[in-house]
Amino acid sequence: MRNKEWFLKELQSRIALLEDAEQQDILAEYAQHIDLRVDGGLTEEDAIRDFGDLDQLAAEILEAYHVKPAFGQKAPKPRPPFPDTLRKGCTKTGACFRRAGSAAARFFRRLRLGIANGFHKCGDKLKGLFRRKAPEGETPLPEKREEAPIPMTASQENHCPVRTALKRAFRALGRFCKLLARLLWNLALLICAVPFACLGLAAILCLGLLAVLLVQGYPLAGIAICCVGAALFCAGVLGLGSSLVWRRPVSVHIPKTAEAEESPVPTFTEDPATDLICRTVQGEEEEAHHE
Amino acid sequence: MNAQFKKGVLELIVLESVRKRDMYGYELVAEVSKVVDVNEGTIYPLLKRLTNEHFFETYLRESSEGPPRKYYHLTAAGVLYRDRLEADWDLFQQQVNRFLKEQKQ
Repeated sequence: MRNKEWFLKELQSRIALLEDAEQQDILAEYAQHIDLRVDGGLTEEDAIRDFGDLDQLAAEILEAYHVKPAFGQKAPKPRPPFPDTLRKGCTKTGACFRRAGSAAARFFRRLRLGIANGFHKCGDKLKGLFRRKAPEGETPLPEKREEAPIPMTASQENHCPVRTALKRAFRALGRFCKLLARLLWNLALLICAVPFACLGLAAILCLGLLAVLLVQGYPLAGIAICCVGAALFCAGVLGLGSSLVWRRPVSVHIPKTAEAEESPVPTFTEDPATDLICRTVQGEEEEAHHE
Repeated sequence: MNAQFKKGVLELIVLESVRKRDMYGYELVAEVSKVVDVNEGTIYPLLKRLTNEHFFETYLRESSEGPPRKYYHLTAAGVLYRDRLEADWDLFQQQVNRFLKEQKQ
């Protein structure tokens, strides 16, 4: 493959900017050298190899004519197709990656939604389970307060007092069990939440540090994105966890807050206004008296 | 041997080789290779450069075997240039040797 013709052709293409007579002179000399080496017992390939790097050789020849060596490089011919194909390949692979990325994003979004729904369902079920466990305390309370007085009085009249006492005791026990279950459940949630909260805070701290280093020019973008991901993950887990917290039944609170709102609001609005007026009037009067 | 060393003295060796008698390219390469192990590719560009600077003249002479060969002949300017290079070389190597001796003591 690397025979004399190949070598002379390659060399000629690199010194093509010289005069034809000069080119022929140079090529004839190299051809003769190769011929003499072959006569001496070498193959053409070996003889060519002894010339060393072809580009360097052409550069040195051109240097003898005080020509910039860059003119000797076969730049214009082979290069244009190469970057073109490269660019095409890059755009194609880029498009593939983009498509794959969007598909992955869609998949993960669905997965996340599914997991979130699952968690919500689980949470609801768990809540339902715990509610069912202690129905004596919770659900009857608001109903019985309205309806109880009639049957209670009836039962007190009809049945013996031991039963009513037992019932009360059972109800108190149920309420206590419910309280204990809620306490334990929330405690367990809290214990589960603590490591995630710590991890999230650590991730945010790391993110801050990495952001500073990133601005200074360290190649830490990947790790920073990982930190963002970790922080978001922890936030998500904590959000899910917070939806599982077993709160006090809301129905009990509403009347209290309503009462609280009804009663203090008018007094509050009355008091400061009248106070202010009284004080200012008194102050003015006093000032007037002083004068 | 260090490639930079070779490159520096190659010119002097080529000029000196041609001074004694006219030579053609291949012969000259063989002659220079006896003194320093040099890449053959670098000698032809050097010959071309020295010819362009009129330190060499070339002429073709028929050979008993194969095509006519291009012979290199040292011009008067080439002789002067060779002498200058030799003086430079002497001074240079004396200075380097002296420095190396001083450092050893």
